[in-house]
Amino acid sequence: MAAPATQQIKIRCNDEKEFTVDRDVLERSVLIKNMLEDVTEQQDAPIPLPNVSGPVMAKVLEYCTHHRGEPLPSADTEQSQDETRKRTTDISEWDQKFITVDQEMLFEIILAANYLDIKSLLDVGCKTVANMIKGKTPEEIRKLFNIVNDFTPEEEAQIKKENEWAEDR
Amino acid sequence: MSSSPLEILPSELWQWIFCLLPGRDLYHGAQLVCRSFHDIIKGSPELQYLIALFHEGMVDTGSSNLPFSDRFRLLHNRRAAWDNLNWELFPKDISPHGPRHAFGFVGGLFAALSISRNNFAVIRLPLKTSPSKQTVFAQLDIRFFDFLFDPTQDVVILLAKDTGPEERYFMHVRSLTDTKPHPGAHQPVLSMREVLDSTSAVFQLDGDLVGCLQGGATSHLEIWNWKSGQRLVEIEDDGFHHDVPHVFTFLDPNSYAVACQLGQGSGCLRIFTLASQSAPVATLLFPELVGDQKWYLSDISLEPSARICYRLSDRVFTTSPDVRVHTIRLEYKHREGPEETLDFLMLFRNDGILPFTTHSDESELIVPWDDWGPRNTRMIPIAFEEGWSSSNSYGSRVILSDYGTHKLEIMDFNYHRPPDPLAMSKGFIRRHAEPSTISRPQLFNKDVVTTLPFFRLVKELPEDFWDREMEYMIDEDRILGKMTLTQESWLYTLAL
Repeated sequence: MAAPATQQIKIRCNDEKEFTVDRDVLERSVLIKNMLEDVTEQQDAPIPLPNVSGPVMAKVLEYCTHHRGEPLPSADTEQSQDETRKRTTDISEWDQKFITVDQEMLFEIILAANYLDIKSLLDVGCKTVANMIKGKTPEEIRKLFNIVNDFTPEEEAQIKKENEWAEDR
Repeated sequence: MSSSPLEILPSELWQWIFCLLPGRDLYHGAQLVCRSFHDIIKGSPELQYLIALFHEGMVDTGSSNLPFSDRFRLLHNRRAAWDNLNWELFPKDISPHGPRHAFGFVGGLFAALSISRNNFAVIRLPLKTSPSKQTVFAQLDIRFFDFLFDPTQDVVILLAKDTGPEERYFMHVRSLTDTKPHPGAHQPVLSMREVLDSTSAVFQLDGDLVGCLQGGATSHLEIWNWKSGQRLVEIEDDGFHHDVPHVFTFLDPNSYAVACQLGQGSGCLRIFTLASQSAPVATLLFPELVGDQKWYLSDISLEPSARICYRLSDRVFTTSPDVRVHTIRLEYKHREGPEETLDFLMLFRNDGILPFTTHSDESELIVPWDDWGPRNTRMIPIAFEEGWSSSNSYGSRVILSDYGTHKLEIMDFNYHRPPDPLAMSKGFIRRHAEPSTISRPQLFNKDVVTTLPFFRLVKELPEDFWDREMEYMIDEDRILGKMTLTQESWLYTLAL
């Protein structure tokens, strides 16, 4: 029997932080949804989420609460959605505002969305990073993400050689 | 200091992010950042495919379920076929119902209008995998003199002229499949203003826009949205000041360029946006002439460029709408001298002049030739000794037709790509990065040096073609030769 929408579920993050959340909000996460479907009787013990911290979970729940009730992508539509998703890196206004966070939080949200299996949130996060990279030179990308250039001079020369056909005038 | 995102995200997620980037950013940006980015991109068939699409100036249509490695291979095969001009000949007589007067070649469809018999036919041209097929044959209700069509929107715009007391052009918006009024058009017929001088009119169709420029001494430009039936732009004679506009072409859904003769004998390209109405946002001047003004720009014409059907869904990938070459022909005459003319082709990439459309200043931007031409164009002389010549372009490729040669010549302005190695070693394809210099001191006040790089593909034609006067056209997969002098028009399709 389907549980009433008001059912409250407890979760516990890896920093011991606990949240009590409406079941339909939590079910934006396919991981948790599947977990809840496997459990038949009422459980008082919180669901442990060892890969997510409290502050990140708070952001994730903000997202899930805003998008509660929207249809989840089904397995059939996945392929075509993958294709359409590629053609646009547009992000809706609310999501845009939501994802305006510092870089570490952005990457933590992407990781959490991937672990919790929240496809639309993973999408928003990845699009945001893609938009940050777009139009930038390799050096600008390194600076942006604090990445060290670890090519050896020989490797760099080799890649440049591979690229010479595409040199801009 | 916080840890680098490189360590936070696993490579699968980076790959997911990279799949959202255009090939250009993968190629010129991400893969050069560090070893792990490079390895992720190198190891992903999808990302390699995105880079190859960028090289080829193409986009995925999103309609294929083929694995990316297969799409990548298809793209490579296609490049090899073009660079080696590996053709297969399909001779085809396309005029079973008498002579044709107007032709169109878009997205693999060849359409022809017979004025004398008042019919319209469309033929799907063959590929290796599919035979040719006549898809439309319609007896028309009204006498039309020309047409424009776009298979992606199933639209044909048939042009009629009313020769009553007030001469007018009418654009009939019809469905391509049955020549009945198009269901997506708010009005079946768009009626233009009175024609003052009907000697030269240029019609263009691009997406939702259709436009007509009546050039010459009393000029007039109208641009319509054929779906809504609204006239978006109307520029009357005085809107062009003292210029004489000759031809126009759309640059993107919001802007277009008009090639004009200027009062003092030279010419220019005026760039307009739909919003700017009669005020050009930029003017790109042609090479300066010598001061004595004995020579002047006497004619400008636009060489046909096939519409890019990037929305055709029966393809895996298709030419990107951003990669286009425009070709205009400039004819210069001596004011008093003999009937001699000097003719040139000026070729430029659409994306080379698009930046000028975003000039937002109130005042018009005037760009001298030296500040845009040498870098953004190739200008080449056309010799008439050998006979009549023309060009036709699709995407980045321009095919030249020149009677009296046994060779086929294509200029490919997509210089981003690596050429096919076999074609390179056989000398079919050569990269031209060195400048072209036109030395005509009687005409130009200094040498006209242009540097837009391109590949030149030259291959000997099959003997069958040597004695025929063919006019060549190209699209994404075909070279089409149309015999011009005989009563019937035979098509020779070289399907690659």
